[in-house]
Amino acid sequence: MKESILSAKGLCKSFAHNGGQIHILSNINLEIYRGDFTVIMGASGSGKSTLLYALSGMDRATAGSVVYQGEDIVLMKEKRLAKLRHTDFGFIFQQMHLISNLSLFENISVCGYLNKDRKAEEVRRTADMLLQKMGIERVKSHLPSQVSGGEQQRCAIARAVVHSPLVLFADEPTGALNRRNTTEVLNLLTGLNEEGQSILMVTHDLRAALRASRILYLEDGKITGELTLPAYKSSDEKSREAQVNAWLSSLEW
Amino acid sequence: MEILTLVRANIRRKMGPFISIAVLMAVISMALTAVLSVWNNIENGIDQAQQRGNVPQMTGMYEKELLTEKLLTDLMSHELVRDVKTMDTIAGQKLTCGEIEYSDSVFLQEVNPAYRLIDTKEFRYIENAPSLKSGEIYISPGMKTNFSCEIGDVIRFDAGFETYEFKIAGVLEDPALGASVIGWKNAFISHADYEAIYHAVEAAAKSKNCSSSIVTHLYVYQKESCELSDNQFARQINLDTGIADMGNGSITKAVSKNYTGLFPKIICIILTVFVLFLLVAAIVVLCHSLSTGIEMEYTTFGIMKSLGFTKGKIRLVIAAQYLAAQILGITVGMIAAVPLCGKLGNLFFPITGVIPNHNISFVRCVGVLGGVLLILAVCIMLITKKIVKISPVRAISAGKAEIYFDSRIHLPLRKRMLLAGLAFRQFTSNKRQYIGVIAVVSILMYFMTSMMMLTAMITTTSAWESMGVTYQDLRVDLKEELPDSKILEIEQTIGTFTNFENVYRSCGNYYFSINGEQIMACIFSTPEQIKAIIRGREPLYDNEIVLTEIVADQLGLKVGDKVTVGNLGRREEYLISGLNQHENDAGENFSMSMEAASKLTDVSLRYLGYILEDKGMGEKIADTLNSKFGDILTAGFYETPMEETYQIAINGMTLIVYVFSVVFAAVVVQMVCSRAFVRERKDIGIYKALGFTVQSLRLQFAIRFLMMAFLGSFAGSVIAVLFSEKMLSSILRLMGISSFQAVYGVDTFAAPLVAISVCFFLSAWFAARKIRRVEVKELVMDV
Repeated sequence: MKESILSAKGLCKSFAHNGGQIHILSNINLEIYRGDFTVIMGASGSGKSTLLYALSGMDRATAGSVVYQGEDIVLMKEKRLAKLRHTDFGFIFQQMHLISNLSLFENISVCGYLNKDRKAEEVRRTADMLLQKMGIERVKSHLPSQVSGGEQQRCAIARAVVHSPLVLFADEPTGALNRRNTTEVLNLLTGLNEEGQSILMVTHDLRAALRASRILYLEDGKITGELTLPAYKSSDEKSREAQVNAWLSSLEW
Repeated sequence: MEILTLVRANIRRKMGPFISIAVLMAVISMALTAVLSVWNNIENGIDQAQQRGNVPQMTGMYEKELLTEKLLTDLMSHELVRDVKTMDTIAGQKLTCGEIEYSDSVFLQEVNPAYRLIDTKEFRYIENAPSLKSGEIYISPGMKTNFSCEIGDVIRFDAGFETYEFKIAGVLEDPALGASVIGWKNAFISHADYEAIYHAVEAAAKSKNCSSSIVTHLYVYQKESCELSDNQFARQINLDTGIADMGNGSITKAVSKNYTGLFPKIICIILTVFVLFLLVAAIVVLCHSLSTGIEMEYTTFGIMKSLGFTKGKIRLVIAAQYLAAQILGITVGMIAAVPLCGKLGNLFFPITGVIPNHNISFVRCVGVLGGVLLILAVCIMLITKKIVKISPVRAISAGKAEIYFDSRIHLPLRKRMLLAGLAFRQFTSNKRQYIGVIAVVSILMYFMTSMMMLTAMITTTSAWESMGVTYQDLRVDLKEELPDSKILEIEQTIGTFTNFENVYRSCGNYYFSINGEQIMACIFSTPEQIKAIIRGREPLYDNEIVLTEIVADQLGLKVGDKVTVGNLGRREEYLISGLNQHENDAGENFSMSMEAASKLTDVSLRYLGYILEDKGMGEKIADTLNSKFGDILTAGFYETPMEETYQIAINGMTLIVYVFSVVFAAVVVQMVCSRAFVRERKDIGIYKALGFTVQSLRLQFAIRFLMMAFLGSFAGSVIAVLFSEKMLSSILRLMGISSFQAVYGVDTFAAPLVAISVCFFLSAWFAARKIRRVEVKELVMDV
């Protein structure tokens, strides 16, 4: 029996526009389980990033609830949400969004420093370990503008996990990368998942989706399909690709 | 039309910077309009009062018997003289009102019908004033200030042989000697009283106990055809007739005007300099705002170019929106200055004694502010030159090239003081953006520190002394020449109450001529008494004198030169042994020892000045000396080194400087913060996504500006240490202080630092409230 760590019920998100309402998310019910690598797919404008942001508390839902450890994220105050972001959640953006005047090492460690329960020395050690793990130790003192896009994204991943979050949210983390860098980033995410990291990722890249243990398909703000996969192995990537392709075709993707 | 559309749209879209620029210009315009108008009003007020009062080009004071018929005939027949008048007055040295004794000469005379009665509360003239009754007196506004008295108070005139009492019936405008800074004063009594006292003084003149005398005022009017200045005219007729050598002293119309407007002039000059500094700061801010604005709108300008807008049209659009804000600010500032002009003008009335006009000097202000606009327009055109370099293709495809953040001033980020570390990093990464702010802070700090130095000078007696301004707690006026043993006895009496320091032994001030020019001579018992020597040495021998730097410059003299000093027909040659500072007659004086002065007149020790260790004993000591030695001296205790009016005026000016600086700083912070906020919006979103709270990010913003305040303040303090003395010397030279010596204390720098820092911190904290509105979802590329 899988343990649910994030639970969305009746989740809605809409915007007022020209006197009417545009519904981005409509009555979404969803569970995210510990240790899963969950991927949300869908066409552009389907609401997948909006769902990710609503689930992570980066944006507030118009209606419904997102319960995390017994607390409704939708009702959380700004201060509590801020704490959640540097203790329990990690976030990776498509455009990396590293802080441009901090070195890669500082970009990673600054997030760890925010956690009052962790000692500075421990944060620095973890940051160094992650830099090594992500293969960017060589450029740790460089500014983001001085390294490649792949290195920036690896740094963003390290920053997202420096505080050992319970859930790692990733919004199209390979969207701005070339093929080689995409593979490297996906390998890192897969590695983290294998170590027990729960990941919720939005993508429209099939190769990225192949790494998932569970794929949700979003269409017009509703979840219209779900596919469960066995744990990823590079050796069975081809058969996995065929399976996912067939499933997506059935959803008219 | 397209330009107008764009200008309107830009103003609507960038209302914040538009308002900030307008406010900056309003502050400058208000201050400049007020200062220029107030000074103009005071000058005009003095001119009009002198004209109404028919003030002559030269007024001389003479012992009646010395003003001979021959001298008057010589004067009347002089080719430059239009008219000569004389008027006898009763000169008294001892006028008291309550506890205050007036220490200079007062000339009692009949009411001058040309002088007008003033309502000092409403600052207007009283028409149809009733004539004076016996026992009543009109005093000048300056005397009212000096005595701190009100209408209805009683003034006592001690003629030596008898004391007369007068009730103050009103305040009469006296454009010749009515200012509080002029020592000599006129006071006006009824015809009956004048006649009675005149004859009594005349009768008692030869007796030992008569302390008053009949002094004739000589009024010399210059011919309209004569083109000499008042001072040149006075010098010329003295050279030709020797008139000045025979008198107790003289004052020209120009000198009277100069003294009357001296203090407001100094305040206005200081405030004008301050406003000019503010203007420089405003130019720095505008250039910075414009420059960063162009960088941030790089893509927009590229698009405009691709649409067919020429670089000239784009520059015109930018210039038009900035100039519109400036013109709006200038107009608002000028309107806001109207009530300020009246209030500031009235503030100076107790000092000048002349009712000021309350007009705005419209033409002068429009001219000056037009010049300011022109300078700003040139700055705008220079800064917008970078529009020329924008390539439409590059601008649209890549925007402004990514800013390359790097700095040698790197401090590692630490968990402890993380916010301060991040604030420092933001600051060092965008140094260029903040240099303008630091420059503005340093300018404000420089001026605020200078004001602190000036304020410190007022309250520090040693500073006064070093600049030649006499300060004493206890003054003892001797009625007769005393042997040293008696003076020792007086000092022993003082010593029984508290420790003391004898700061001067003076024989008084006389008017002698130097090379034909009448100048005040300050005579001290010994050369060591002559202080504040700034060049050369004290006049050790009886053929030596020291001049103030101001007199030396006026007469073209230097240390080592020989001059002829004359008095009452006697002339002697003296060597200038040094230059000193002395406040008397606004620095137009020279000093000599009693031995040197005795070659020209009979002098004796007349005044003793003391500084008491225990000032609480002052009143008691004065009372004891007066009761014990009342027949040979008069002792008085003075609580403040400077009259309250001046302190109020200088403190008021410091307050104005502080208020304007703080308002200015707040507006600058708002402007720079808004720009920084737009530029860093994405970073703010990232910080929020990482778990930083709104409060912590606002704090980071505020800390960053606090750092700028500290850096700017440090730079401003260094500049102040290097240049404040020079700046204040050149301004205070007007009142006789040609070498200002600053007094530093912790508060000299701490007070402005705290004011600027608190203002920066709070303004940045307030401006950063917009951080609340930044949503993390703004980082999302796709829904």
